[in-house]
Amino acid sequence: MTGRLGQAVGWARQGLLTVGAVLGVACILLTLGAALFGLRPLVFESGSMSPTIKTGDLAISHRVDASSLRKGDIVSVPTGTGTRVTHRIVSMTHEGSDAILALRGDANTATDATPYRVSHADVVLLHVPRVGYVVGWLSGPMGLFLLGLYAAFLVSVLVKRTPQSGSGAGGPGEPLSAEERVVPPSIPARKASARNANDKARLMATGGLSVLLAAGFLAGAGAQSSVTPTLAAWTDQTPITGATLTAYTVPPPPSGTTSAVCAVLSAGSGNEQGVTYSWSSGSTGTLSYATSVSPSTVVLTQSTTVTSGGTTTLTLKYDAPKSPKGTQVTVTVQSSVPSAPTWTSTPVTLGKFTTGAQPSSAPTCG
Amino acid sequence: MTSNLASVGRVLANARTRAALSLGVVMAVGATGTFAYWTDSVPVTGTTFTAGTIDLQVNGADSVSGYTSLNINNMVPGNTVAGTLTIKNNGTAPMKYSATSTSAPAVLSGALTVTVTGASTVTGASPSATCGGTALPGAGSTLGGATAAPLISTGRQLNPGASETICIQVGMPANAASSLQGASSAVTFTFTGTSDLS
Repeated sequence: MTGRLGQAVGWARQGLLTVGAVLGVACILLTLGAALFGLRPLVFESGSMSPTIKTGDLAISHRVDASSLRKGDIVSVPTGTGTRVTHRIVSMTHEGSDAILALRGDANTATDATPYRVSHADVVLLHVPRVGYVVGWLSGPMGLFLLGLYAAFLVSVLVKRTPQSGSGAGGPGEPLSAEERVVPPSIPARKASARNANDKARLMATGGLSVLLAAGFLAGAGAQSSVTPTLAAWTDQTPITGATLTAYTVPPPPSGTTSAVCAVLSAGSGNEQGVTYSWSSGSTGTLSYATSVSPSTVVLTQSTTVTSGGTTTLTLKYDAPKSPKGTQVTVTVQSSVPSAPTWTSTPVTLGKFTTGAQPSSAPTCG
Repeated sequence: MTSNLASVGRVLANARTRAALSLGVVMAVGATGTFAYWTDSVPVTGTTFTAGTIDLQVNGADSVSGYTSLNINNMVPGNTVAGTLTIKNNGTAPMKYSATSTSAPAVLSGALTVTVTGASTVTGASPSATCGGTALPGAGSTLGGATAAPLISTGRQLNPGASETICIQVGMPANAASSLQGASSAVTFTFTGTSDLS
């Protein structure tokens, strides 16, 4: 290896180690913080909290009880569907030890469709731009592969022999060969003991690393969710207005003799007398009519309504010999919708007529 | 004191110390699933970033103020009205949309029935217009009053640029009370899109 290249590799190695150590300490502190103080890192998968927090940001949150939550806090809460949403509290009500939160993303025009009932929530303390992308990428297959390589490199540094001052044998990092392990009697005892001390250090380093890795495995198994993805979901609302539905008002027939025209019919066989009432029904559509007369002692033989050409005509015939003579009769009519007989108008008095004094005499209107 | 600082400096400068500290990164990131990935006992779900925005448009607009397809003046029991709406994701990220209905006053609307299908056209004409097909999953059956009622409660996914047409049918049951005569309700539908696809 040439000196210049070797120097460059050395610097790269030193730089990697130093940067790694700084990040490593930060990660260890964060992991400890998560365990001791309920801190939880959150990776923002979407940007509805922008411009405060954008997609790909990493936030540090702190778990607090519902009673400690305040309007305006940015909180992360689990949704019913197993994901997590991080939005700002726009209003809240307390119910016992729970809080019911109405949340809205800063970039959203609408409050989240459903309120969240929580006993505790993760309040966002601070956020770091774009670090979430790094964490997300490192959690992917390529990132895992590179992490594995990086871990292997660290392990190689950890278990490598360090050069001993005063020891001429063996270059730095050169593994012990089988021959070297056999200490020839000609080598001074001082050097042999240095070798033994070196081996011991290497054994200790390897043992320590094994413990560290085992702890890492346990931490990994126990803390699957140390970095939690969170949705700061965009929402967009579109209102549709303008639909007006109005129910039909069943129009009653016109009331009063001025509106309904009364006409006297000529007598039929057996002294059957009758009157008709006609009125303009306009464009109200086809209606059914229920007719009643008062007094009820009038014996009706026909009561039919016919609507034609915008005019409705009610024909009333009665058996004159069996009905009261010279009596004023009130005609009451109620209209209804043919398809919905229960939908009726208010009953109105269509008009009155007076039966003849004799069964053979015709009735008179009014 | 100085020698203490110096020895601390020497320890920190030591490659092994730094290497050991560096393992913290592996541990912390690894905790999200690295080790599970290596042992293949738990699938790595990964983190999906949703960049971009969503823009829910109905009939090509961000708000529709003159939707008159459902208008009816003389509604009697048995009548049905129907109208279609085209929902589009005009944004750059996938979204799911749902819809609710409100109305005021709610006397009439409270007695009406509603259904939503995927039909792209209305069958027949008012006052007996209907929507073909079966009701969409999570379709509501009643209209909301002051409090919103779900119209489409099961989110429907639309990818960027995609659109679909739905058909809303409102009817008055045959047994609607006669006291509803002359009542009127203005109905508002609110469509909400979200980038939360869960």
